[in-house]
Amino acid sequence: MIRTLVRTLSALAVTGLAAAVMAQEKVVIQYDCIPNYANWGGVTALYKKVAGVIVPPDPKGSSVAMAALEAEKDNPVADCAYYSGAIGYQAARKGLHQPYKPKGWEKIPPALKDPNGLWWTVHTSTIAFVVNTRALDGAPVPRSWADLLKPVYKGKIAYDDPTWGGTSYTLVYGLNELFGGNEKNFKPGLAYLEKLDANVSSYPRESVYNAVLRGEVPIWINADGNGYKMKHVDGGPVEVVIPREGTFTMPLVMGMAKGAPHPEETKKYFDWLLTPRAQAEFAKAFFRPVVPGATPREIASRFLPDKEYARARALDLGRMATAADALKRAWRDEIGGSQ
Amino acid sequence: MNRSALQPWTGVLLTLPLLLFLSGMVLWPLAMLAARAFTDPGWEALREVLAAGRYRTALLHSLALSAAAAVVSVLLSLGPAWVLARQRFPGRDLIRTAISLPLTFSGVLVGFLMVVLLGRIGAIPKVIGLLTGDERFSGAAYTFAGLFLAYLYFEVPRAVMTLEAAFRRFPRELDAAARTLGAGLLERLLRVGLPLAAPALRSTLAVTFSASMGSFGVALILSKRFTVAPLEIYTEMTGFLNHEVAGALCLVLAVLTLTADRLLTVRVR
Amino acid sequence: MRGRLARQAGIAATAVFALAMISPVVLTAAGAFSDSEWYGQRSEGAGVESTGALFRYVIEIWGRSLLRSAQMVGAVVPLALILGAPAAWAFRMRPYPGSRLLEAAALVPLGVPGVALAFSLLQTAGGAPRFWLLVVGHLAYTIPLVIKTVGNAVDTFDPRIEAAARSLGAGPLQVALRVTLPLLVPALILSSLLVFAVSWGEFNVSFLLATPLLQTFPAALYMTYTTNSFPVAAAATVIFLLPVVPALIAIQALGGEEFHRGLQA
Repeated sequence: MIRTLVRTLSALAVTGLAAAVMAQEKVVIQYDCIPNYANWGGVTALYKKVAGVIVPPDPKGSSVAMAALEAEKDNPVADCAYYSGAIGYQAARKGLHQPYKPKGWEKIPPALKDPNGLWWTVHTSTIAFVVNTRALDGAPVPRSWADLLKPVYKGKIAYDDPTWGGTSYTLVYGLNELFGGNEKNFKPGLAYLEKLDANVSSYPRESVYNAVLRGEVPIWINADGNGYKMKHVDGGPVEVVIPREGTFTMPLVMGMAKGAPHPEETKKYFDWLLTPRAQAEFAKAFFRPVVPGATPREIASRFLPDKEYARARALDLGRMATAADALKRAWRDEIGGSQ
Repeated sequence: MNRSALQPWTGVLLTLPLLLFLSGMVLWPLAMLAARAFTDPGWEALREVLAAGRYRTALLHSLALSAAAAVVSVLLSLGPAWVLARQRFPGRDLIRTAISLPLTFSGVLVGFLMVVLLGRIGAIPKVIGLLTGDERFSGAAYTFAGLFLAYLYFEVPRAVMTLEAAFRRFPRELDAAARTLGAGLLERLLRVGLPLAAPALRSTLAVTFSASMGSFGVALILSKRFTVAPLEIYTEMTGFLNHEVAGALCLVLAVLTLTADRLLTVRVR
Repeated sequence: MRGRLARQAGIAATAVFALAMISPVVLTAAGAFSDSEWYGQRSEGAGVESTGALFRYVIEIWGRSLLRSAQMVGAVVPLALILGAPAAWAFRMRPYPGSRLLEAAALVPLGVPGVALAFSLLQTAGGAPRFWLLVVGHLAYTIPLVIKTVGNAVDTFDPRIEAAARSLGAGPLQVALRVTLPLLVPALILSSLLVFAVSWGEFNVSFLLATPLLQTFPAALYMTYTTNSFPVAAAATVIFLLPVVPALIAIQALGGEEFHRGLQA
């Protein structure tokens, strides 16, 4: 009898304490806030120290975040979301965002923001090959998209499922454009990806950063920032390669949700994200701050030389957004997932 | 069978909160799920789900995997359940705790454990590599066999616990009587053991099958090319916002699971 | 002689079986405490080097999920008992026309995949406070446990005890509080432990109904498995297991002799 009573009372006490603690906090809910990606962990920890506001982690990928905003239209839960450019553009077009131009707006180049303030770039990256050289088992480091098709790389390549994550969607769309397609003609891109499929080991639904670092995945087609962090921060045997035929830059954008439950706090949060300190914090994960000059020199020096990046082209976000649903489904039907 | 001198309305009163909870929060939403699936546009989606294609494949995968995992896990559990139920030995509680621990694991944890054991640089390939110089089974976690093993790890604790509880109730006298009547081990097993065990086996199969059909976390972590129904539901819900297809998939999955569950646990008088 | 050898072989085989079941857990837990990088290095940056730093990292980022899970359990255990225990007693001792159907209905959720239930809840009651939707989801899967456990215990009741109490002049409430309830205490404790164990580890419903403010710890585990290095994931797993292992040991102790002695009567 006593034991039950004690147990019940302590459970109730913990419950009450937890509720009390959590009711006091100031929060901003950001969809797609993965601590170990682009150093969101460091950025949100810094914001908590600086402003006392909690931005909890959230595992949603770009597409999932957009779908969640849409599903919650009538009962908004999120204050804002972080996406890869094309998906953020699409979300804005669907009317899921409210306009807000954070302080420092003028520092963002015009191509990297919506003129009405519905979305804006917080940092950028470039699609590249992130190669764990030790896991290649003697095969040479691939230098071009054509190289990836060689049988020596069978089972060694991975890229995230483009129906879930925005980076891979950028990759799929970009490849299509690179090989001569456009937002209405997906054949060139899908033809290449079908050939590549023979060498792909899997299409993960979540980041395989750690798998690449440990050598489980030798070649990961993803953001260059992840590769640099693996090499310079985590000390992995990693090389970042910009393919010879060219590649694509990818802006990563923020949008404020329409009907955000904590609008004032969200605006302050957005303002802070463009400050030099916040921008430099993103740079620690080797994602390029959108504010010019915010990258600390020792980090900037570790990127591949600019002449490599000359081959990286920007993609038209509007056209990417238009093609998104159709291209994702086409990929899924022809290549993705099931046997 | 009424065993109390109290009025019937006492029974009603005591079960009223449960009735309200169940009807309002479980049965009503499920009924709405069915209703939505049978009226347009849900009906279109239902037909799409049942027609040949990735959705039906996912459902069939779930069915096959769950059925196979249920049968194999029950077979694997017969021995340990019997020993735990009928023998007394030091450390029995410890062993039981060890076997039942995975009952509390969510699917994601089981998936992760499988990766620890059999991932590309898992413990088992590493040990085999140390012993034989060749790392076998590296990456096995992500194959169909790995997925199946994970399902087994998920199911076996349930099966052992359910079977053990049932085996405990077996009267010792029946077995002893059969032995004195001269029946051999096989005969005792088939004519005494099996009929006695049949209800327990069926209900254990039902429990493990249901748990497998609903298993989501394991597939989330491990399945690379092999899709199962809960994964498709999740993708449609959260990636494509296709609520009609998600709802239809949910309904079919629930109906399949419930039917098997009821069929297996129908009481034989 | 042969019987004894077979018996010992059976026990040994079962012991090996148990060892196989527990080994991945032990291995994973060890990963949190060892410095070696046999399963991959850390990737969370400087400051997550030592074992203590690992655990601190997990608590800093996912501490609120831990509190949330505690909050859930604090709500689900009493509610499951309140909804399930009196009903379990009534089903056995004071059934009425239709009570059989209700009992079967209570077990229905066991045959409904968590994804499906979560989806239907969202569709039908999406505007309701998420916390209570989560509680409903957990209750749907834990009430059957209470009904079965308490029901089994009630099955062993000798109806003459309650009748005797009543013949001595006790009113129905007195009988309930002073005769029935004390008899049910072991089953109630066992049920609460079972509900606690299941609710603590529940993922399917919780993941789909989660919001960033309402993440339970299993959902946080998922994030560490998919985005963090192995040592961090291992540390998170150890934290998850900490409350559950004593509960399971207690379940074994309670679900043991005392219980089954009653059943064999």
